[in-house]
Amino acid sequence: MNQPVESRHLCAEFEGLLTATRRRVHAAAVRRRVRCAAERGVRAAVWVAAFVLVLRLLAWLLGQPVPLGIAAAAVLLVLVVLAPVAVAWVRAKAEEPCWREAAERLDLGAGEHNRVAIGLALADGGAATEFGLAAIQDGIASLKRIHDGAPYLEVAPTDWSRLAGRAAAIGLLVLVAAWVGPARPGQEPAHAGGLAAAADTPRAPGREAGSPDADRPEQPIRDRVTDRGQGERGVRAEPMAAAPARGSHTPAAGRTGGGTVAKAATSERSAQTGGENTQSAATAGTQEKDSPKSGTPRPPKESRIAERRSKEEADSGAGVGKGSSGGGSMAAVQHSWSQRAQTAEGKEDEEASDEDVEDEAEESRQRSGIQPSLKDRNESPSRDLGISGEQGPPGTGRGGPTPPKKSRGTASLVLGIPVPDFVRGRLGPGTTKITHERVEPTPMPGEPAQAGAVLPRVGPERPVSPVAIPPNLAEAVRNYLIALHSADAQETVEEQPDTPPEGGASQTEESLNP
Amino acid sequence: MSEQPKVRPAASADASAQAARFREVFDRLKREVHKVFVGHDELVENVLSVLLSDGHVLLEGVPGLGKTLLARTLASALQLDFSRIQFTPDLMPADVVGTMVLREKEGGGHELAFEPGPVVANFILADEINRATPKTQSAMLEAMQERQISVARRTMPLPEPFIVMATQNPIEQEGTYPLPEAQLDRFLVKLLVDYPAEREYHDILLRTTGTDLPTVEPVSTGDEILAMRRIVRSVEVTEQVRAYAIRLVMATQPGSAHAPAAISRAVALGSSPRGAQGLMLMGKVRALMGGRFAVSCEDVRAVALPVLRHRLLLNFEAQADRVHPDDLVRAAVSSVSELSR
Repeated sequence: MNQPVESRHLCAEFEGLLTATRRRVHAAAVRRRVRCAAERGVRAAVWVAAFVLVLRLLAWLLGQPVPLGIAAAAVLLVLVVLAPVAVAWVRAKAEEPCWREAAERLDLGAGEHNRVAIGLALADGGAATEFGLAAIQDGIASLKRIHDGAPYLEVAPTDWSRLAGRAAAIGLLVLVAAWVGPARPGQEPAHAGGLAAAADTPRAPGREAGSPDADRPEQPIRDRVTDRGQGERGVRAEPMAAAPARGSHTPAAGRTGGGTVAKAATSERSAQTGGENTQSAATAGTQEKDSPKSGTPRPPKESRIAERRSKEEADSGAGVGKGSSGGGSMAAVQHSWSQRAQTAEGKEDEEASDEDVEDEAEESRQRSGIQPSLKDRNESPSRDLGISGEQGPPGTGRGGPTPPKKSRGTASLVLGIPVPDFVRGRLGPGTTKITHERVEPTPMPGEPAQAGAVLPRVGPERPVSPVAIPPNLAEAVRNYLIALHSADAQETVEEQPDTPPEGGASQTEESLNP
Repeated sequence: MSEQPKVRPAASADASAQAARFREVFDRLKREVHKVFVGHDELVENVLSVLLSDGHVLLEGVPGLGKTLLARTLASALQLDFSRIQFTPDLMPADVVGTMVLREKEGGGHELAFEPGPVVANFILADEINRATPKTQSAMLEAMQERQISVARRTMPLPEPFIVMATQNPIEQEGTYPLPEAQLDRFLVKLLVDYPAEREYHDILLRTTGTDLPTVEPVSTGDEILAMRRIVRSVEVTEQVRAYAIRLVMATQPGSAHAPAAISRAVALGSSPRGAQGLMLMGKVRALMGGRFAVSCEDVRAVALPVLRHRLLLNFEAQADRVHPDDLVRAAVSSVSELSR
């Protein structure tokens, strides 16, 4: 019967000391709940403002009177914000925190190892154990010590930027809604023409009615392609056409044009050079494409050679004064010797190669058949003795990449020469053959050794002096053995030059024993 | 308001006296251990807490850090039946728990008699426990949990107090087997033995390389240990702290409402209820050592790392990302609030 009385008295003492803390916790809870409600209200106000804007916009588009004015919308927004705040404030005021929460928050704020909350809980539960009573007493002592301390209050920082952003959004939406005024009765909406215009079939800018392009009849695809090609060629030929006007015609430009022509007319060997018009070259190319189909007989070899030589003479400037078409396109300027030499060399090469091909073809015909040419032969694969261990160059058509060759002979016995080995740790394993022979043991003639007593040592015992080896030789042998027995012996030796640098031995040891 | 609290002074004085006695025994054991084992105050305190909480301890660390020395020293400080089992890959379960052997009777004839293994003792040092195969490791399961062994349809209780102190090398080392989860769960704590500090090296060298080697005297008995264990269990735990420990254990279980995202992402298996029991018992020892009569949430937080770290089974992704269980336990601790609501 004594225990409940004790418990009641203890609880009353706890509550008396926790009153101030509980009040503070309550005030903080009210503030927290009001702030949360305000944030929720502002968030809802954004949606309400957007709804008002949509409503007014729809009324404006449909030409109907707007059911909600701007003033009414503003009142609604204020209500949306303030109503939850008021409700939250009223409810938070009505809900006071319990004593246990106040005790726990006071413990947390003071760092008291839950002494107050433990004491209150044990007093409330009527603890009868020795340790329980001691914990209650400890809790009361702790509470008396810290009852004026600040409780732990969750203070969530207010996100002012987000709040300001939402407020700005509300203001913007209200402004837009106010700007979107109601439509007057009988007035056609301003967007009607726009919608009608939008309903028209869209046209491309270059195909507008009345434009010169629109009046032009539909052009066949082939012609359009030709036009486009001509246009492109015209663009490309523009520098060449403008070159004489600037007085800067160079053989290089002429070579470019000539090269194009030559590619297009390889079989006809009617390469146009110098300042020939590109368009004519293209025309020539088209003609050349058609020429095999037309079955035009090929002129004899002598006439072709003569024609080519005459054209070369014209290209080389000899025909400038003749008024021929080939020379007329060349500028009447002095070529530098280097440019002339380049031009002549190129011509000679082309001529020589062409003649070679024709000569070989003629010889083949005379030998009544196509014979293999020496120039077609590939290089034979290398049979050199390679000891690098690396992958060889790719094969020349006979057997793929060249494998590394094994070193044989005395080269593998010389110290310091890297020896590639396919089986690590064994030098030149070669092939091993084990032969078993059944041989009967046969006694060998000889005299048996006579057993004798162990004799004492004769002469003084002296320390064995090491063999005098030059330090550089000892270092070289040591380096070699380290490299030989390491896992990466081959790579280590390849990285180091023949003569090891200063401190080479220590570097090798470090690399082997990281 | 002006009334004085109606707490019986005698009861409070008794509790204070018991707590003081507990601290005195604890400090005495700690001093004796520190005669030989230098430094690692927190480690020694945790080992003694396990001893007085009626649990088992697993020490993990690289070779040479004094794990075996700590166990041997503690066994020497207690007047207990000490047994050491050196776990090796060829150790068999019968070598641990014992086996039936054929003996000659005095009057003639033979009989099967039980030859107890080294596990039948008060203080077991299971040295390098992860060097044995899981089969042999599992021989300790019944002994550690039920405090008994069963051989050939015969069950024999183990002597009290019974404590297993196991040492193991990190699992990355060669020749080690990971402990089964069931056995890991039976260890109350898993303590990591780290390298000593520079100052502690001086003491180690002075004590171990001189002529006067320190000796450890027995300063406590088995009965005293049992009495201390009863005092530990008398410490109060309120509902707030109990709920906090439960939420903390549940926070280590993926999919739980209290589990943070890091736990759900990295943990395959969380702590069992044994984890909550360990938090309570170790928290009680810590509260007594702090001069308090009830466990606080701070006590639970302080022992969460050694109690829970070996109870988290990480999933494959976490193992591949080398996530450490300690980080996950810290994440769980930081995600649980100690407020009741």
